[in-house]
Amino acid sequence: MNWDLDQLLSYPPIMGVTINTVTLSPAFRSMLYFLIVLVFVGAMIVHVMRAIPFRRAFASAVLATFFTAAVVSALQADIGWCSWLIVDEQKFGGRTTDEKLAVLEGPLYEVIRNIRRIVRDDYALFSEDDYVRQRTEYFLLPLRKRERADNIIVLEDRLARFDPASGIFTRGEITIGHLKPVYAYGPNIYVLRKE
Amino acid sequence: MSIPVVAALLIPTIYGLVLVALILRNDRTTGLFERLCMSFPLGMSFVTMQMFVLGLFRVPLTLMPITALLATEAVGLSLLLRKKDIPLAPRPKFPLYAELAGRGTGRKVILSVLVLWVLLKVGSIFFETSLRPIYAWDTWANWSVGAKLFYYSKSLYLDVPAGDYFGRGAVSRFLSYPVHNPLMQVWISLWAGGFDEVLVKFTSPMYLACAAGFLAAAIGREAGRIAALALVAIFLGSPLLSYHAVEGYSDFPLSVYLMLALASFSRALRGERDYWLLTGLFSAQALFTKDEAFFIIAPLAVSAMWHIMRTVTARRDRRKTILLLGLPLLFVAPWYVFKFTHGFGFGADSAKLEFTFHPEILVQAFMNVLSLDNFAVVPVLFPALLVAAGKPDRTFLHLLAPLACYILFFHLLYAFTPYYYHYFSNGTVFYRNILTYYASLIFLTAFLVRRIRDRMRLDPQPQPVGKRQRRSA
Repeated sequence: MNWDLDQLLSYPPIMGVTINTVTLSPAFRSMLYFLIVLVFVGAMIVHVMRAIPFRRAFASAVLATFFTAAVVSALQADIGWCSWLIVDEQKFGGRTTDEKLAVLEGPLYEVIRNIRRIVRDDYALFSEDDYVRQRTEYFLLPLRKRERADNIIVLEDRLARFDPASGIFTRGEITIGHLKPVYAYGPNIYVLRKE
Repeated sequence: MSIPVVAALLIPTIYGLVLVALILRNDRTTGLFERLCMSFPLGMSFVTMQMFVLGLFRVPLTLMPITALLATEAVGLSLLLRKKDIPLAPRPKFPLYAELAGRGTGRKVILSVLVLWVLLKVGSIFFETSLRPIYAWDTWANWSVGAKLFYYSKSLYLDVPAGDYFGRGAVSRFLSYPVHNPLMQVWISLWAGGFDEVLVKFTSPMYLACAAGFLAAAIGREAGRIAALALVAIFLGSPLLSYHAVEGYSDFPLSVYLMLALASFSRALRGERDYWLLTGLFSAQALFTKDEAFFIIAPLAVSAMWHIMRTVTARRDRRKTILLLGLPLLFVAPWYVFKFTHGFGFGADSAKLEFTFHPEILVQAFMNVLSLDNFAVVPVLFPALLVAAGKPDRTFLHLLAPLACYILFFHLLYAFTPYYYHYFSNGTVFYRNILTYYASLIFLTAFLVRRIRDRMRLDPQPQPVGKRQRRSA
């Protein structure tokens, strides 16, 4: 187990992914349990030596243990919080919301920003990546994703094929003709529009 | 944060303050600070519920009709306050300042450190909110999608087939989820002049500031100021709480409403009749925030009825008290009537009423709590505090029972339904469910702290060993 101070005091920085859990470092968890036992046993010994009745000694020891352990863990969490603040201030400080989203999402946001300039109506969207598909759909609101639409957006979909010569787009059983490319970011990222 | 966004946060606060003044017109014990902390959550829900009703009547969801309605109501309520000679707020008192300026160096140092710690944490939450755009999938896919659609269409998206109401199907928008959260984001957007991924979630740190302030005041009355500030620092120390306080998800506002409902209930139990109304209102607002609120509000209503039946003997008084609690629940009626007349169901669209049996999940839940992740020692040591506090009084039992039912409800869901079993197993729901009652848990901890301290004072003081020996000789 790594007992260096960095590991004891740090929390993983906000990664922009989850609000489900923040995992405590195993070293700090062990230390916290050690502290709980230490404070409780220490308080009990002191109370017994002072001839305090057991019930009262127990209650007092539990209270002391709760506040000591809870305050120490809150302190540790807030030191971790400060490190998040510093990281985020460097990452997002002084930027506009649009720039912040570009930092958060990377090239995906740049592509979506470009698509937003070109696509002005509802669209069909093909992507194998759920996150990419949903994030794109979200950023393109209030335009809605439809089964059939004049604009076809393809984002990293290896099953999709477009033949520029014939203007035909295919994906599995779907075949759509009379299309022209209006935007391309790479071989697998492009927008087509019905002519 | 721009001036219009400050206005968007201040208007519900002022509206809520007027409502609190009307409701607590006979109350002399609730100070201005505590009232202010209740005002924003109370007022915000009134704003979103009225937006919802306006939307049902196809009134465009733009700034003009909403603000006009709110302004008219605010003027009407203010006139009522004036006519009945009810002060908007009690004269402000500064007991904390008096204590900090008073004698006793050690106590002053501890108080100063705790106050500074709490203020810095709350301030840093506002700062972090201003840095980050919405980032969590659950927030944008479930809630902000609705907000964007409502904002851009200036409606509740109802002029479509019933299956597509509220923008269902866009990204991961669920039909049955209450619209309080998306409408809060619309409200901010209307003032900000556009849907801004940073600004729309500024209601979350407001909820945090209100919860922290309220807990400090309410616990201060129960367990003393140092214990109160320490408990607030502990409360704010939860990293998951910090995550949610800078995001736009609904679990944290729900946590605040549940805590306020429980805290109001605690005052009502002690004979402060005005607080029955607030208990009902905060309960209704919790129901308008997330569906699972029902599983604490229902036991809370049973607990309240039990108390009323036991303590209020005159039939007329009993009926009046039940009405004081029950009538405010009608606040959420428009949502539930609409929801059930259109067959929206309960919870996520993908949740089905199927049964399974996974008792092993309870062991996993226990291990999750022991991991100390997210809420540190609070849920682990709460049972120890419960034992140390000895036999609880009736008031505490009335408060603990709804919370225990709520916790039990979640564990039954994990063990018996495939939907929750799946989301428990992949780590999505467990800690977030705890977050919804974390503020209430902290509030109840204050009762235990006070009880333990009372016991320590009341128990016979130990005598020096020498004296006892002499007496027995």
